[in-house]
Order: sequence, then C-alpha cells, then structure tokens
Amino acid sequence: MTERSPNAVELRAVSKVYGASAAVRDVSMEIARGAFVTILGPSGCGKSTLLRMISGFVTPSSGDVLIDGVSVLGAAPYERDTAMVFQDYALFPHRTVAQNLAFGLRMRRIAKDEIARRVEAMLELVNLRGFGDRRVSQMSGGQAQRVALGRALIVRPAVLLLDEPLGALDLKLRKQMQAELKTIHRDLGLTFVAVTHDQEEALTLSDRIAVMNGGALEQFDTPENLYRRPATRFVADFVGNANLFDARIGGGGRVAADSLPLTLDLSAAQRGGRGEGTRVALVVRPETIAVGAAAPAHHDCRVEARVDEIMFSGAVQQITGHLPDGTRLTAHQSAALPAPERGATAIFSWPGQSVWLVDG
Amino acid sequence: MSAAHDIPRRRPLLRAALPAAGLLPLVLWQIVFFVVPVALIFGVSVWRTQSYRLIPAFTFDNYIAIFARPAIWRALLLSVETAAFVTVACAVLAFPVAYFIAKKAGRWRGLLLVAVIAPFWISIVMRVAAWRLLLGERGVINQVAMTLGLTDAPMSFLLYSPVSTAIGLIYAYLPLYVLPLYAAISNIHDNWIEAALDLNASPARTFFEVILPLSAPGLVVGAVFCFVFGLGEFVTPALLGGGKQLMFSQVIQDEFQRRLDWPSGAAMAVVLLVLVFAALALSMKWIRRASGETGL
Ligand SMILES: Nc1ncnc2c1ncn2[C@@H]1O[C@H](COP(=O)(O)OP(=O)(O)OP(=O)(O)O)[C@@H](O)[C@H]1O
Ligand SMILES: [Mg+2]
Repeated sequence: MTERSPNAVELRAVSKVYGASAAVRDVSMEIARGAFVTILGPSGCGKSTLLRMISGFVTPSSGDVLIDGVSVLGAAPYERDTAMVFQDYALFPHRTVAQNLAFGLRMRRIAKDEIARRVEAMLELVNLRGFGDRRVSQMSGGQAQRVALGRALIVRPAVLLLDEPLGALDLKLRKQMQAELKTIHRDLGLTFVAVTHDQEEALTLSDRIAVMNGGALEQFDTPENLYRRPATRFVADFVGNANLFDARIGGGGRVAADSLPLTLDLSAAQRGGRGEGTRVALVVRPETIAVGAAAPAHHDCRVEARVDEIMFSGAVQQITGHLPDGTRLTAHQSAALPAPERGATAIFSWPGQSVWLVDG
Repeated sequence: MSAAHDIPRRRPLLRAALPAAGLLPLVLWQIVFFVVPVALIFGVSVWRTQSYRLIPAFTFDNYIAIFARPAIWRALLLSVETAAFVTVACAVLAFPVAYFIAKKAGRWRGLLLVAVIAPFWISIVMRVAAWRLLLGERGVINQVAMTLGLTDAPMSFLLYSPVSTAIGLIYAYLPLYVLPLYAAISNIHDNWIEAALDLNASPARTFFEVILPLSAPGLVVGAVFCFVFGLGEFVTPALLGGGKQLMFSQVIQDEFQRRLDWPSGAAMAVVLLVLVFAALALSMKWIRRASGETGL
C-alpha cells in the first residue's frame, strides 16, 4: 500500500493458446487508473479473451496480469476487484432490479442500510429511479443495459470491464448510452476497459484504444494518434477509412507510388526513419481529398480518375473513382461543394503533408 | 380433425375450438381409465360389508375406521416417511448428476442421458433379483463386510425391510429426478454463474444464490414424481419389503384381496388419492412461484 501503482491494470506479455492456435499473443499494455480504454478489433481477434484474462475467467498460457500493481495470476475471479458488464447483460432472472444491483455489495458483506442507500443512489445514477422492484424480465433492452452497468459500477471496482456493452442496442439507443457511459466515467473516475468491434464507438468513448488483430496488439494509442499516425497498415485501414497505395521509398526521400502517376517529397518525420528501397503504403484519408478542377493550391498531389459513384449522406458526399489501372479511390467532401458527373473524369487532389506512411 | 382443411375462414369460433379437439383422445382416456374407476372406488368406499357381502349404503364408517386402526396409521406413516426419505435422497443424488450432464459433459451429454434412463428398460423383476443378490444375508455386501471384519453376523436389515424398499425406490426413481433437474439446470446460463463469481460470490455462495434457486422448477417437479410415486408404490415394497412392516398400498391390497373388505380398502385408496392431490396442488403452487421468478 505504500507505493500505489499508477496503473489500474498491467498486462505483461500475456498469451493464450488454445490447442494449436493462439487467441492472444504476447500482449503488453499499461492501463492508467481512471482511464477509459477500448479494445478494438475484428471478430475473433482475441478481445474477449484478453478481457477475461483480466477478470480471471481465462488463465494466460504465459505472461502476467497485474491489478493495482499486484499480480493476480493466483487469484480466482471472485477474489479479484473487477466487475464485468456482459454483452447479454447476464442479469439474475430470479431477482428484482434492486436485488441485482445489491448482489455485489451483499457478497462483499456490506451493511444492510448502506446497501439500501447505495442501491437507491445507483438507481438514480443509471436513470432507473422507481424501477427497483421490477423483475428484470420486464425491462427493455436499454433499461436492462443500465441495470447491468449499475450492478457492476455499484461495487466501485478497480477496473470495470465491458464486453461489447452496447452491442445489443439499436443505433439511437447506442448513441445515447455512449454519451451516458462517458458521463458516468467522468463523474465516478473509475477505470473502464471496454471491448468493441465498432471503431466509431471506440473513437468516441475512449482516451486510448488498443487495436488488436489476430491475437496481437497492433497499436495502443490515443484516438487521434491512431487516426493521424497509424502504426500499421491494418490500423490505418481499420480505424477510419483510408486509401492505401503501395509505394517504395526512393533516393532523397522521394516516394514513388506503384500504381499512381505520383511521386511525393516527404519529410524525414513522415518517412519515420525508413531507408531507401523500403516498401511502404501511402495512407490518404478520404476527407483530405478534394474532387474537381478547383483543387486548392496546397493540394500538391493530383491524379486523374474516373468517377464511379457519388453517395450523399447528409453533410458529406462520398465520391468513389478509379484510376486507369483500376486502383480505387474514395474521397469525402462537403456536400455544399459541386458534385462531379458520374462517369466523367475528375481531378482528385490532396496535400502531400497529410500523407502518412505505414510499412507495406 | 379430418375436416381441418375445409373449415370456412369466417367461423373463428370453430377455428378456435379445433385445436382443442386434439385433446379429445386424452380426455376420453382420462374419463374411461381414471374418472370412472375413481368414481367407482369412491362409491364403494361408502358402502358396507356384511359376511363378506357388499351392501350399498351411504356411510362414512369406513373412513372413521381407518383412523381407529393403529396398524393402518403405521402403514400410512411408513409410506409417507419412505416417500419423503426417497424424495430427499433422490434430490441429493440427482443434483450432481444432472449438473454434470447439463454443464460439464459436453459431447457425452446424450450418452449420459441414455445411461441415466437405461434402468427403466430393465424389468422390475430382474432389478429385484439383482438387489437380492446384493443385499441378501449371503449377498455381496454382507459377504464383503464379513470378510473385511466389519460385522460378525450378516446384516439382516438390508433385505426384506423398509431399508431395502427405500434403496430399491431410490434406484428406480433417480432417473425421474435427474431428467427434470437436467432440464432446469440446462436453462441456467453460464453467464449468470460467471456474473455471480465476478461479483465476488464464492463458488458456494454462487450455488446457493444462483444455481439452486434457478434449479427450483426441476427440484419441485422431481420431488413430485418421487413423492407421489413413492406414496402409492406397491410392487417394490411387496418384493423387497419382506411383509413384516407393510406400506399403505400393501394394506389396501390386503383389504381387497385377503379380508375381502372392499369398502374399507376403497376408503383407504380415497385417502391416498387425497394425499396425492394435496401434494400435487402444493407443488403446482411452488412451480408457479418458481417459474414466475425465473420468467421461464
Ligand atoms: N475456450 C476456447 N477454446 C478454444 N478456442 C477459443 C476459446 N475461446 C476463444 N477461442 C478462440 O480464440 C479466438 C479469440 O476469441 P475471442 O472470443 O477472444 O474473440 P473476440 O475478439 O472477442 O471476437 P468477437 O468480436 O466475435 O467476440 C477465436 O478464434 C476463438 O475461436
Ligand atoms: Mg468477444
């Protein structure tokens, strides 16, 4: 207790092997106390397995898990100071809403009157005042979600784990619950670790995002860095939309794209210290691309492409096109700007300094 | 039912009544083989006998006589005790079996369920013969116990006693308890168990807080099977009970066949029936409460 670790959770080179395949491989991560971290990745990449190693339901094949600076490898789930919000809520069907909320406190042998007080406060916090005596089967999806959240929050765990907590809700409710989750996180100051495969949700919710792919941690960074400075091709593609063009670094810092009539002069920072001859991919975000003859002067990268499709989605129009060699290209620009003709040839342009490189 | 295809759509009443027609065979069956015999039994129970002859009457003397004869009381008590003991023993034995099959057996589940039901396929006579080999004075258990020096003389209470009746009944009814329990436990989501553990409930508390209450429907249904069958059981006590301490059903049989006092036997049968219905009514209430709680 003398020196409290600043990290609520620390993973040290954890792996989990099932038979011949690794669900999680060699993941190291430090989650600061009070942070909101999401684990993001496609289905089957090991997100739930990672979360369950923190809660104790999966024992790592190798590596170490620390909670509040103490290794918990020897601790059973019921001995760990974590609380989980399950995707299907897992509310106890034979208990009322209030009894569900009280469960963790009862197991921790809290005094009766304090339990009653904290249950009332939690009903208030999750906007369910007056619902305490309801059966959980009488709750709507959104309400059940709040009960599940409240049941885990009420014990004030060292880490709150959320496995796709909003996965079963419709879009509108999802947005609303995202905002509520964020408010609750800020108000309570607890450490949240959430799993999602929805990149937008990860970007809105969290301070830091761990992007996983095939059991490995690709990048653990702030949403902004993930977007502006993706570490790998996978991250560039998975977080936000990206146009990826294979390229090669030439002499004097010039980068030549394989398929584009395009060479770029990139700064050493953009090249990330990569030497001549390295194969790379150019990451060009769709919203940096302008379409049409009136390209801004600082858009020094320009290619001519045929426009295939124009899709309006409110404020933004998404324009897809292809280059003579077939490479596809996507641009997002303000719907206020004039749209090009479908089937016509148009200039797609973007500023070279907004281009990011990842290993090819 | 044969006319189902040409029911005009404009006759909702008939359409609503049609599915109920499917119940007809069951209703007829019940009337012919249950309602009529029970009515007859009840009718006979208020008659009198004189020199082994039945005389129609309307008297409750037979019922009053039941409560006046200690031997009958003892038999009824033994039946209730045995049924209760067998029920509790079956519950305790069936729970781990049902839990294992529902939660841990994986791909062996089907095979294990068949193994649980298998004793049903063996005739009672063969089962009893096997029990005799095991429990008799020169049976396997006594031989082993004496060889090991655990006892000097063979334990005679093992066979032809309420003990052997109880053992035989537990063995016979275990599948009846395992099956409904298995069904109830299968309905318990693993996530509920994990949620309890995650919220710092020890495995023991998880059992009492989550697993046991959610198994209640299966526990009640199994208990009803065991208790009701145990109460009225005739064959097993007749073959294994030895005849020194009679169970209620044996006394009834005695009244009908040996003493030829049908009204008296019929009155006892009615008492047994009332007990059974009381047990059923009680359990219906429990089941409704238990299932109301689980929302199943
Ligand atoms: N108990 C297990 N036994 C064998 N393989 C498992 C087990 N649990 C998970 N796996 C495998 O490990 C991999 C990662 O599973 P995990 O559930 O962690 O994925 P996930 O990222 O949570 O996916 P999703 O988004 O679909 O929930 C999968 O390929 C899965 O099949
Ligand atoms: Mg998962």
